[in-house]
Parts: sequence; C-alpha cells; structure tokens
Amino acid sequence: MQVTIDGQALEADGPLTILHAARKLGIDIPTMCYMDNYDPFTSCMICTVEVVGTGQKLPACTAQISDGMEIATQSEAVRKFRKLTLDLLLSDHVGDCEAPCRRGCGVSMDIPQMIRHVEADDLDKAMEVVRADMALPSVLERFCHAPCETPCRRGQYDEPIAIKDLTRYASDRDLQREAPWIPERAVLSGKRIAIVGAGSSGLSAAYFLALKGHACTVYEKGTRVLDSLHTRDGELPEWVVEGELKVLRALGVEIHLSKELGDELSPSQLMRDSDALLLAMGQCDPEFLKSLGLKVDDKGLVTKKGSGLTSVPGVFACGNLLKPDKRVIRSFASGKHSAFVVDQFVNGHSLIGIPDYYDHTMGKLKEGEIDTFVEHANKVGRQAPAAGKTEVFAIPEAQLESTRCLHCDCREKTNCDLRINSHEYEASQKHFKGPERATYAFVNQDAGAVYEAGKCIKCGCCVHVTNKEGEEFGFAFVGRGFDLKTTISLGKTLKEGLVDVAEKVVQSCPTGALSHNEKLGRPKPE
Amino acid sequence: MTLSEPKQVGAAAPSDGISVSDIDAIIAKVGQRPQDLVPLLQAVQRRYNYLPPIALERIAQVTEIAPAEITGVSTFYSQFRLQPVGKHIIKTCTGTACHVAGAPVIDDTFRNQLLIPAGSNTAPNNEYTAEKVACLGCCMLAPVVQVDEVIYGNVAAAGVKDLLLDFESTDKKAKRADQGEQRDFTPIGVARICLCSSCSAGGAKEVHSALKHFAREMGLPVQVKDVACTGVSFEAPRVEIVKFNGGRHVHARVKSEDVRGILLEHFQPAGWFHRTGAKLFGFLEQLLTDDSWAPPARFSTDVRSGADGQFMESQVPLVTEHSGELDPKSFDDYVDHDGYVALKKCLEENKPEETVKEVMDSGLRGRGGGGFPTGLKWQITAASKGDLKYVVCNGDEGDPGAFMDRMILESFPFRVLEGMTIAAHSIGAHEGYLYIRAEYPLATERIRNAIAVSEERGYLGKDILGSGFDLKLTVVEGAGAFVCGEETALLSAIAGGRGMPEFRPPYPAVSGLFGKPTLINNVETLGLVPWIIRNGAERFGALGTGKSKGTKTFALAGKVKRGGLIEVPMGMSLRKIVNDIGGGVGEGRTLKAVLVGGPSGGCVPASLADTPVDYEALKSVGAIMGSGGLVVLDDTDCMVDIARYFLEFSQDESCGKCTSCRIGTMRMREVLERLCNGKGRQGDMKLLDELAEITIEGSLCGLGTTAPNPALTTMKYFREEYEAHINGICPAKKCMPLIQYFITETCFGCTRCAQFCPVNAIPMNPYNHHIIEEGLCTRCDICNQVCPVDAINVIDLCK
Repeated sequence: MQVTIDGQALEADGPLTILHAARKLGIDIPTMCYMDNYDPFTSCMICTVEVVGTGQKLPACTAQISDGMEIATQSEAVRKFRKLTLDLLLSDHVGDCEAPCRRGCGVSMDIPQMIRHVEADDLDKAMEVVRADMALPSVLERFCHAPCETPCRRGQYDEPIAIKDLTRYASDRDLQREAPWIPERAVLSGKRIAIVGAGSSGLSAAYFLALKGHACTVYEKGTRVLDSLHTRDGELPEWVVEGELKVLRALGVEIHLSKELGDELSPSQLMRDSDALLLAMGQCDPEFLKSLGLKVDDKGLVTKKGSGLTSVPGVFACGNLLKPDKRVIRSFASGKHSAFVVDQFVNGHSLIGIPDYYDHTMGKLKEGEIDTFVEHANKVGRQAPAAGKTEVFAIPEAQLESTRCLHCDCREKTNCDLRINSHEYEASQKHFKGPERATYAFVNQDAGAVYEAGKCIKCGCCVHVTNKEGEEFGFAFVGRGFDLKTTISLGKTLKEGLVDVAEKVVQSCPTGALSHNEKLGRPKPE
Repeated sequence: MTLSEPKQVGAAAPSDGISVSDIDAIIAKVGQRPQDLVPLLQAVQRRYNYLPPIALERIAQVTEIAPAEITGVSTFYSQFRLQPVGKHIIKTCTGTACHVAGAPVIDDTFRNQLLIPAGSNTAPNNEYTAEKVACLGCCMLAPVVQVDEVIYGNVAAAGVKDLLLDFESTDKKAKRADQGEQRDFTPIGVARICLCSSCSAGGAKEVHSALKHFAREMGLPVQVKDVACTGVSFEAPRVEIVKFNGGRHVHARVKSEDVRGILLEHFQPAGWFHRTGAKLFGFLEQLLTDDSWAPPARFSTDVRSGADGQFMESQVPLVTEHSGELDPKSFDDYVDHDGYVALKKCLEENKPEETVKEVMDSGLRGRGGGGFPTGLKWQITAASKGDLKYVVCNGDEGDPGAFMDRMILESFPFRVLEGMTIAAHSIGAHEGYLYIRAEYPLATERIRNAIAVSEERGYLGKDILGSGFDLKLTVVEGAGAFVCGEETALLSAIAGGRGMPEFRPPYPAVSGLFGKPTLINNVETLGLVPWIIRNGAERFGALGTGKSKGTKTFALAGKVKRGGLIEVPMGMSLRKIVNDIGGGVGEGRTLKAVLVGGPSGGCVPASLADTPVDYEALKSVGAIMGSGGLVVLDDTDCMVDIARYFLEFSQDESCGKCTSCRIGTMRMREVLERLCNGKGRQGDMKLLDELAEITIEGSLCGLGTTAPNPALTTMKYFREEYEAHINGICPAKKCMPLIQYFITETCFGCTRCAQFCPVNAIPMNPYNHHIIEEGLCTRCDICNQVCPVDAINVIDLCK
C-alpha cells in the first residue's frame, strides 16, 4: 500500500504505524509516552498528526497506515494541537527547569551546575559551566552585586548560597593554575568584528563573538583595559586582568590600546575592514556621537530597541553608551546580548539577541515546600572565607558551602522531552493555569533514582518498564482522572520498587520526574 | 519472609481482626487469575467493608496477580475503599435528578448532623460513613439516599434526622414483616407489586411484606406477585389488584399501613375468625387513632385513565413488553408471555446469517449511546476469523440520571438473556459476559437467577434446546467506573484490569476480550432482539424515523410531574414526552431545558423542545441520544451549575489516560466552578471553548470527546446566564456563593426556622421577626422548607 507523509510517498507492505512509516521517510514526529519494543500506550497525544482532507487527528504511535492515506505531521492544525496539549501538561507540572538563581543572574550562568562541580572539586567542569555564559568571571565576581543570591531558595531556610564567592573561588583558582581552562572556539567564520571600548561590555562582547568564531579587534582609547573598574572601590589585581586577557587572547581577540575613535579611526573606516562594528565606549557626549555620523536625539543615541542597531547599518551600540547602568553585571550582560545580535547580523538572521528557551517555573513556594528542598541538602549555615571577607574560599570551605545548594534546577533540564517540545511548539504554562498548583514532591529513599511526582505526565513508561522487566513491585497507576498518579505498588518504597531497573526507568521517563539519584556522585551530606 | 507473616505496609496497616486464613479462604473461593482480581477485591471488601493493606499484600503473595495490578485496580474503581469505614454507610445519590433536587445540601446535612469532620467521611463514633454515589438510578424519587441496603426517596435536608431514626429501626421491621409462607389456597386474584430498585426506594419492599403478611394472617384468597416494573416511578410503590373474574384496580403511593385496607376492599377473609378479626381491627384502629381509617382510594387510579393512563398512553412497549404483569423471577411466566419463541426460531428455523440479516434489516442501532448499526456489528463479528469468540452485554449504565438498563435487567432478565443467546448463536460465540454496574445489586441478583434457571431448563449451557449450540454466560460485577461503559475499557475491566480505553481500530469485533473477536451490545439493544425476531424487521422498522428505527427507552426525571421509565417510538418530540407523558413541569414553573444524554449529551432549550428523539436530530442541536437519560429543568435551575455539575462528574470519572481529558476536563470544571462562585472573569467563555476543543480532539474515548458537550450547549443556548455569573449574579438563585437567605416581614416568630437551622445561624426570638446571620448561613434551605408562612426569600448576595 502507499501512503504520503508530508508530501513524501512511501510504499509499505504489512501493518505499520504512522510513526514508523514517518521514520522510514526520515520524518521526525515527537513522542513522549511511546517506547520502542513496547506496545503503544497512547496517552500523551503529542505524536498526533492530521489526515489530510478529513482533518482527522490520529495518534501516530498507534494508528496504522492505510492505503492512500495522506498525513501531515507539521500542519498548522497539528502544531496548534500539540501546543494546546503541552499547555495542558504544563498547567499541571510542578518544578523548575532552571534554578531561581540562574534566572536572577544577569548573564544566566548555570549556577547550580557550577556548584555541583565545585563540590566534586572538578575545576575544569566548573569553569566550562562558568565560561559558557560569563565573560571574565574573575573580574566580574569582584564587582557583581549578586542578583542571583536574592532569589536563591536557600535564603527562605537560612541564608542564600554564597554564589558570588563560589564563582570567584572557581575562576580565581582556575586563573592561578598553570593552564587555566580555555573554552572551545567555534569554527572560524571568516567574519571580522570591530569593537570600540575595552570596558566591561566591550570585552564581554568580544569574548562571546570570539567564541562564535568571529575575529574580534578591540580598540581602546585609554592605556589599560577595564579602566573604569580600576577607579571604583574594590581591588582589581593586575594578575586577574592579565589572566582574563590571556583567555581572550587564546580565543584570538586582538586589543589595541590608545586608539581613539575620531578622524584617525572613523566608523566608516572601521566598517570598511569589518563585517560589523560594536560601540562600547561607555557614556559619550552627544555632539561627539553626531560627529561620528550617528543619529542622536534628545534622549541620546538613536538605536533600534532590543538590538542596539544605530542609524548606520552594521554599527551597534552596547553597555553604558546605550543605557547607563552602574551595575557592572548589566554591562557584562549588555555586551553578551550584543554579541548575539552582532552574530545574528553577520549571519543574516533576525536580530533577537540571546534566544529564549522554554523555562518552566513553579513560582512562589507554598508553605512547607522549602523543607522538601532542604531535606536532602546540608543544613549547615552559610560559609564565609576564613581568610577574610574579601578573600577567596579555601577548597574545603567551597565544597562545604556547595553542599548547601538545594538543586532547584531540574536534573533532566537538558534532556526533557516536555521541555524540548514546549520550546518547539511555543507552549505556555499560563494559558490553562489552574487555581492552585500541586505541592512539590521529592522522593529519594536511597534508591537508584529520585522521583519528583509533580513532574510526571502520567505517560506510564515507568509502569510498563517495571512490569516488563519483572520488578517485584515496580510502578503502578494509582487513582484516576486528574488525580491519577504513578507510585510504587502496595505502598512500598522507591528502593523496594526499583531493585534492578532504576537505570532503565530513568531512561524511559520523558521528563524530570524520574532521574538519576546523583549524576555527579555527590557525597552524602553529614 | 514466610507466607503466614506478610510484610507490613507502611504505618497504616491495621491488622486487627483481619486474619490471613480468612483472606486465603476468599482467594480459594474466588480464584487466582488476573481476571479474578476485581471479584477478589469485592469479596475482601464485603468481608471487611474496606480493603485492608494486609489483604492486598496477601493477594500479591499467593496469586499470580502483579502488585502493580492490585494497586492500580484497587485505586481505580470508586467502589473500593482503602480506609476503614463506619458501621453503616450512607450513600447520597448525586445523579443529575438528585443534584437538581438538592442532593449536595443533603450530603452536607448528613455530615453536619453526624459531626463528620472536614476531610473525613466517617463520624467520630465510627457509626456512620457518608459517601456520595454517582447514581442509584431512582431518579424520580430524587433526592435519594441509601443507608446500607435501605433506600430512601424524596429526602429533604430537614428530614435527615428523622431518616436516621427510621433507619435504626428498619432492620427489625423488615424481619418481623417477612415471616412464613402463604398457606395453600385457591386464589381468586393477584396483588401485583414491583420490587425494582426504584419502587423499593419508595417503600415497595415494606408494602410487599405487608401484603404477604396480611394475606397470610387473614387467609385472603390472593396471590402476591412481584412483577416487572411499569416504569411509573412517580406513583411508586404501586399495587395492582387483578381479580381473575375481571376487574383491575391500581393503588398508587401505597404505604404499608394502607395494605390491610386495600386487601379487605377486594377480598373476603377466609373464615369467621378472620372476618371478625378484620372488623375488630378496623374498629380498634378507629378507637386508637384520631381519624377514622381512610381508604387509600384517594391515590387509586383506574387503569388507562387519569394520570397513569396518560403516562402509558403514548408509550410503545417492546423491550418493556408485559410490564406490570410479568414476574421477573419466573422462567415459566416469561415463557407464557412469548418468551423464548424468538430463540427457538433462531435455533430451529433460521440460519445464523438469516438472524443477522433480520437484525440488520430492522435498522436497530446501539442503544448505549453510539448508535452504531447493530446488525452490521453482528455481521463484522460473525465474519471475524477465530474459533473463540465472545459476546458481552454492556450493563455498565453509569450516566447519572439514567436507569433504563437497570429497569430492563431487573424486570426483564430473561428477555436480555434471550437476546444475548440469539446474538451469540448468530456470531458463533460460546462464552459470554454480562458486565453489570456495582450499584445495581438487584439487577445482578435477578440476572444470576435467570441464568441459573435457564441453564436448568436447557435454555442456556450445553446443547441449548437440543440444537447442539452451547453458551456459557457469566456475570461480572462492575466496581464503579463510568468509563467502563466504553467498550475497550469494559473489556479491560472484565479481564481484571483498570478500565482504561484503548485506541480503535482494532475494534472489539476483530480483537476484543482476551484478544478474541467480541460482540458488545448494550442491555436495551439485546432486549429488543427477541421482539424483532418474533415480529419481524419490517414491523420494527415501521416504528420510528428515517435512520432511527423502533423504540427507545428513556429515564424521564427532573422537574416533571410524572417521571419514570418510558418507552416511546423514535421520533417523538421532547415536548410531547415532557408534557404528555411527564405531565409538564410543576405548577407555576416554566420549562427551561431538557438534558439529553447525561454528561455526554447536552441541553436542549425549551425553544427547541420540538426536536424529535432521533440520533441525528439530537446531534444537530448539540445533544446526543446517549443512553437515554432525560432530565427536565425548569426556571429554578441554573445552567452554569448544570455544566459545572457534569464536568465535575466527567472529571471524577475520567480514567486519566489521555492528557486532554485528564487535565482538560479539570480545567473546564475549575473555570465553571469559579463562575458559580462569583469569581468568573471576562474571557472565561473563550477559555472554555479552547479547552473544549482540545479535550474533544485529544481524547481516545467517548468520555473525553463528549465531556465538553454540557458546557458547550449551555454556553450556546444560555449565554446570558454565563454573562450574569461573570457579573456575580445567578439568575436562577441556585449558586450558593451568589445568593443569600432573607426573612421577610411575613415572619410571625414561630421559631421553627431557628429550631431546624443546623448551624444556629438564626437566633431564637419568639413572637418576633427572625433574622439570619449571613456569615453563618450555609444556604442549606432547611428554614425555607420548614417555614409555615413562606417568609424565607432567596435574594442576590448583597455585596
């Protein structure tokens, strides 16, 4: 028999589901409750496709093809169906993709992940996390006002985690090593970017543009980089600046000091040699900007909202030049944002800056929920460097402080089908929001997996895996309707229910409901 | 771990009074196979009134049933309790008719009265447990409450106290009344009474006992016979006296104290002693009571005239043929009334394919709701390859406000078995199951009786009527899950699992029970088959409309004067049913809408009451035929509340498998709840539309795809009522958070309201105008019910 899927014809003999027919054609249909080698359970409905002509919706994992069938897997109706289905699932999903600290961080650094690497004393991995989102961390962490620590959930129990101190601990220790960790640069793009100003925003932009494979040249009118930071309170030792510059140089960033924008170095001249120009000189006299040929109005430099694109094509502005802000992390953040915009510009993409990724949030904690989070963390109080307030943690101090982290971020945040699909179909957790969200639950019980029931989408994978693999107790469906749950049979513990198949169950779970007990082999708290 | 010492489950494992050997005995009796799980749990619950964890552990240890199945099944069906309960169980029916008649308040009143703490169902002294039950199927006696095995009808909040007092003496009364058998005599007449669940709720059992008691005591030449229900629920209990020399008299709404008088009106006591006794009784009665004994003739109606006649006039009984005469327990009586003529014809004259053709030609469609052509289903199942096939009778009528299948099973059990046997023979099945709802114990009992007798007489079992055809029928009791009415869920339930529907195709006709071709037909569908075979497809097809042939039974309930089980030709208009058969709505009230098809159906507004009952016509106005519940609403009913009620029902009954049904019905219910609570928002109707769309599109089975219908149709026809709720007003004055109770100047200070108020919201103030303390009032309506001068007004909540 013959079927057509998204316009591609397939000749098939014998019974075949739409999902498998599509796979034969290399067409990917999203699934969550479907598992290879298991009978389809047909529960999540994310694999729903449309029969062209009738508009009938069918679950691709279960429905069989029939002769002459024509299927659309990405029509507008299908995409809307999937979005609404996800909206429903998200309205009943309790947990955070990313931790509150990361959302508070100006440059969205994956703080809890870094903390877990610090705890494991894996400096390379910690720095890989830090440098993925933060330029010049050793510099920044001497000035940052730590907006990450305000939302830190640990603060609802005693005091927030000393995130700033931990980040500084990691990056200072790294820079002091013989071979600090250098991030991997993308394949060279052949694009040249000129940046004017070697302050926080300029160097931050240069760092990220370099990571993206562009050749960056920074022009600074002064005789040293980060000049404005030296004039402010707080030490900025020379070895820190030198160390961070080494990283920039390793990424191919060129810095020319004592080069001032003007007749000698005009924007048009720079534009001739570059694919884009990023202005990061800090606050400037409007007349000066006018003299450079840039449009200025009574509010200052005229730029496109969101992208910082000036009136001159290819010329962008960032940092304090765009919007004065005394918070250093804002300048770092602005430079990072502009790096994405400029990268998008040179690649001919739309200028959206750092793309959003779906991030589910559980919002304010309900009464008693903080205890669920603290239960599995070290209850010791907040640590300070014994050497002094302005000093850096010693290794055991940093590790001890790290054990206080509540691991608010989802263990499966990079590997969650619900998140990936919610991003793909632009789903919203607010659309079908209920009057009250369920209470956050976390079960450890020393089993091979941890279970967060609020993240369960009732797909039944764990039930079917434990059943097929012959676990004595295993997972069972409990209740029905909206109150449907999956728990271990007969009231047994997670450990009794997952004797042999913890790993397989974690693999089968499409969300973060079931995850490895601790991927990093985190030591047990005292 | 040794077998005699099962491991404790968590902390809550009270093992007091629970012995492993008892549980082992239950297992030995019931069975150990996966499909025995539900009966096992039912047996355990019968023994302990709940499912003790230790019993579940034991079942897991000694049977081949997986622990995940035990946990899954014991938490899926609403019948199973996992917590210990009180000595007696009060079940308040929350079916549609009971809901509109005030069931929520009744449940609250029981809880208040018994001091049941919030969050619990059991009174602190462990005497009573209060539960809500989906539908007891006694809609015309709404609101209905069942305490243990006793059913009370027309319960009012103000009467809850008396009800409990009555219950406590009930057991003794019943025992006293039912002693001994009737003596030998030559009867000159028969007293007919129906003992179905509806009539029993009206007190038929007591009247039946009294009939037998007095007939025996006074030696009256009358035979007391329980008969198939006439469906005239509004007159229950109803005693029909038929004298063999002619003459029929119907006595309606009979009480046990009326029985003696009724019998003496028609029959002479046998001897001098009894005659004298009878007279003396009347004399003493006059002396001992204020009034002279008034014969119950005030309720008497002659057959085919008056209200009763009108109720019956427009009806065409096919599946309910011989109602009021047939003894549902008597095989011979059934045979005397054309019973098994059709089966004999099918076994002796027709070839199976001829029977299928006859059913096909009749135009019969599934009466369970879907309306799939029955003959076609038979043909497909007959054509499916396989040496093993099954026939299943779907008696899992769960639609709140529908009780047709219960009445048919209780009153015409042999007819259903005959239809099922014909179906089995036509498709080549030798095994069959009748899946009957947990809440229908009498139906189960009568079907079991009918199966046993039919086997004895050679009409079931091996070599039926010498034809060589074998059929073994088994009754499976449901355990409380509306979704099991869906055929794939039903099959999963029979196999002992959770009733979770599956994607179709494959249809059960190809791969059904235990993977074998299975024919699933509804009770009424099967019950119509013998008539069709006996009278021919043509006569059946002559009744009804274009695509909807024959008759359809409906459970007519709600705000009509005369309700009950009715059977009418397809195509009759809703208006005719409501006005001619039902006698219209109450005095001074106006018809607002008719709810057709329960939680899957929709409301048909009064303006569309001329819509005929016909599969396509009902669909075109947004309703569906469904199983046939007709709940009539008048101007005192709130449409938003009705939608909320149905979504609550569907949500409770959703199996939870499909995302959009599990969460979509909940979100719809929440939006409707906030509208009823005066917390509605602009845009809520759009939100309901969006939720309805995804719930319909994304659900595998009929429950999810039809659950939004009540909300969609009420929004379509009563939009202004939704808008009023968004503005904080309930036009029907039904939504409690939007109304308040108020005592007018008519009050003359009799203090009745203050005495009856269960929450002391009315301070006692004799001879003065009483006042309700708004903050304490729970809107239970008791003051309104007891006020002698109608001084209680319900008004919009003053903000």
